Amino acid sequence: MKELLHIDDVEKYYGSKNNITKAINRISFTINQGEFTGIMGASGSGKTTLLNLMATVDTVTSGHIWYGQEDITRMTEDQMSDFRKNNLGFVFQDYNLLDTLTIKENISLAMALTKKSRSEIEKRTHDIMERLEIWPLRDQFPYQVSGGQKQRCACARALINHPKIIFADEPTGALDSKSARMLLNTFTYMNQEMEATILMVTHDAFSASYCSRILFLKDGQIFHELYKGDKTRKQFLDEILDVLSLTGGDGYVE
Amino acid sequence: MLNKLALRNAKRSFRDYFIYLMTMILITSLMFAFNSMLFSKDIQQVCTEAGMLAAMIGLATFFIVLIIIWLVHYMMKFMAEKRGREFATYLLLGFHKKQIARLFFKETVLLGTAAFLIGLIPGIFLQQVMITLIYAIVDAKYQIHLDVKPQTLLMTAAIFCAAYLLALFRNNRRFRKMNIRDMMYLEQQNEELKNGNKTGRQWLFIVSLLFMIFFGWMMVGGHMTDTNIYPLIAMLIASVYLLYIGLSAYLVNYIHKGRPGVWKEANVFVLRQLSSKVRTMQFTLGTLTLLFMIALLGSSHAFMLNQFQSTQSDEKWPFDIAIYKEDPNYDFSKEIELLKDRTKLESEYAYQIYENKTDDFSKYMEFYFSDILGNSVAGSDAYFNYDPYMKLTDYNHLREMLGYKKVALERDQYLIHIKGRLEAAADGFSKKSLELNGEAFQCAGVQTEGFEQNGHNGADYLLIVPDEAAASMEPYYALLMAQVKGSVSKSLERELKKETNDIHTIEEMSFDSYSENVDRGYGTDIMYVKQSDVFIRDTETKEMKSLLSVLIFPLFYIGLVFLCVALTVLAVQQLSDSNKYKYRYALLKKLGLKEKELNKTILKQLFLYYICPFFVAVLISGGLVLYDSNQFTKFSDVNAPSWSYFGLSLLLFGGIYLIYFVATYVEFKRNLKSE
Repeated sequence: MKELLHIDDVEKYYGSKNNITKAINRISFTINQGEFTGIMGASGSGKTTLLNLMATVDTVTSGHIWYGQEDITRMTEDQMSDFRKNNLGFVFQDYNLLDTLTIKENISLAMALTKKSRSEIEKRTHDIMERLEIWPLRDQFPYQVSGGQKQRCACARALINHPKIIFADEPTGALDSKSARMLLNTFTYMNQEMEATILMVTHDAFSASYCSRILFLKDGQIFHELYKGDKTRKQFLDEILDVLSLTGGDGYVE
Repeated sequence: MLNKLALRNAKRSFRDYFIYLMTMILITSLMFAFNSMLFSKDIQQVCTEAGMLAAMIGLATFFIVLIIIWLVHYMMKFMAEKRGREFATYLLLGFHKKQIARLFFKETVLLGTAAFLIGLIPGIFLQQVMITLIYAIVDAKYQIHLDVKPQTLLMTAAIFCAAYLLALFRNNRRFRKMNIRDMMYLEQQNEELKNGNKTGRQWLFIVSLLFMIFFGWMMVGGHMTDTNIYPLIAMLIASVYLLYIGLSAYLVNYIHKGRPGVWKEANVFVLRQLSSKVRTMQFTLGTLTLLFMIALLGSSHAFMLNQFQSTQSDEKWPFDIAIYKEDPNYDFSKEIELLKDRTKLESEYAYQIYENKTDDFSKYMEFYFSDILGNSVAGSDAYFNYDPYMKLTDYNHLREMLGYKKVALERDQYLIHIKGRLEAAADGFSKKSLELNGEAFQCAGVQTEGFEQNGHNGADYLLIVPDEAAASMEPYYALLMAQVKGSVSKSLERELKKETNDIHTIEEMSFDSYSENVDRGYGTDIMYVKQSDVFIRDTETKEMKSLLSVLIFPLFYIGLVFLCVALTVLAVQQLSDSNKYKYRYALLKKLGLKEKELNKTILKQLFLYYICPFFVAVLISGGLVLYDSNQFTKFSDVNAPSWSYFGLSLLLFGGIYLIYFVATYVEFKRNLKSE
């Protein structure tokens, strides 16, 4: 598999001189194209910080993050904006949809920024919405649809520019179990059928069991790693729970 | 797509910040109406002080532009903060910061333009109301007609644009410093609730209170001087800010100690909300208090001047025409001829004022001013060199002309006719007997009706003696009083003034030599002073009224705008947090608070929050106005009680306050109930 993202000895400190918190402590790993990677860990273990660093939302204290030949830690702000626009997709716990735009407009907006032609935007939006089964909601506003539907809209928005990678921060956090299951199936579909690389942060073992690989974080360091391989999801879930029980983590199954 | 987004966002802001936009609409209409005064031919026709009016409106506009810049900047900062998450989303989607700044700029311009255009409609209406009012003040008839001048539109638009651009300019810096991570998690931040060292801050509360009391004492005790007044005012302003810094600490301490009332109903919740709000907004609250103070001061003084202008013409110029001649033996037949010819003359009377080479009364008045009132108003041209006397017959004749009751005097009695505000001085003087040609005269009474006492029937005061007593005195100068039906024409007025050589004399001599050579006093009025040989009641009244209107209108203008701006900030602060409150109140409900109790809690919270800056402002400005209006009553002949001006302002502003309060309450409850 082709290497997509390489994290090279990254550190992130917060706070001032006398009160430094090491959120990320010298982490290195690689993510390959087409992987569905999960990052797990207890609250405060640094998983969201790690995601934010990879997603250009936050800046590293030291170390490098390589996307192929491009080092995002060396980019200017405008370069980062363009990089995000062309390469990254985001799905957050609280959807982050724009409340003044309809579902369809929310999805098209991301593509409109790349200055594609109108017909191309229309076609691509329609295509993705159909595939994620939200085309009937196209003229609704975010406040008119359910949480699960909102999250699928966020997925469609994340996919629209054919990003290299999609970052998802606790995407099921605000959903009921049925919607969560549906969303995770959508993620699997995006990963397998649409060849999207996904990196998902979660503290929920059930959600993590949909991934193909899981990194476990503790005190800002990777302390364990699991691959699903040919195991069934049930077997993989048991394995995850075993790791969590070792660390006394707060993972749980609905 | 981006334009569509800007339009939709603007529409949403219009809903969310309705109160702010209503205020901008109101300010636009006020500004349009006032600016149109500058260009209105109608106003220039009736207002003798149109140039002065322009200057005053210009000055008011300056302050108003400052306050609009503040409001727009404040609101933009506020909206941008509230929309941090949204902006973070834009950034995540790959927007450049410049693009977001441009989007926000477009939205703001859209909102501003909407407010401006909507504001023009009530503005045109308000303009007509104001012109009608000014016409009514100077007793002229005004035919309502539409008058929208391009200059007015241009000027209003230019001021509006300038205010917006300056505010935007300052705001653009924010966008450059934006950071996605901070913005994404901004909403999770609460008001800071620190319980740290509070004793220091608590003292600030006490110290500023003490200073305010000290300020009051300095003012009432008359310890203010030209040198200490500015530092004192600066310290007063500082103490307003410090008061709020201390207040939050004081409240926290109050809750900590579990003082009375804290654990009653949901009070602890309300008090905590208030103390955290005061803490995060201490600077804003201080500024709001100052705005309220300026608003109240402005309008109270406007009411004072209004009271003055509506009562003073009867006091100052009870006769339609009054003419003074230095030569006591002047023959008025030419003037009387003129009046008979050119007016509907009702009655006229020519007479002399006498002197006795004594100045007991004017000496007493000078003593009264310097020793009793403690000021030096009685300057060199306040009084005649000798006390002026009038014959009883002349006096009664004049009283008859004015419709006053006649008076009678015994052989050894005299009467004092003096301006109402100086009655106490006359009472003091009347205790002694008056020596006239070796005879002692007793005071039979003091009269205080309006009696043309600014250089005609004496200056401030006049002594009336029986005819026999006056016979032994020297004639001092000559006067002609006349009452006419209808108005006096401009041309007649010019002729009368020419006859008196009024203009001539002043032109030929420098002012100093003029006042040295002529033995004449003009009284001690300071509110509105005019020195002339000829007074035509109509003209004088109009002149005074239009001069005072020039002050009154801009004062109200500033007062209204400042009040509305301050109220808007208060309202928006509360409403924008209603999402947070929704959660908090839902929790209170789960804890078992009934709907009715909940409403009461909301009302209490809003009320405390609204009353806080207003209360402080009322206390301080109330003190200032009471002091001023006491002084005002002392120096003018207006007899309305000194609290009435502040009372009226309070009533007016309280009304507007109530409207904003109710609007906020209704909107707040709607926000809590909405999904």
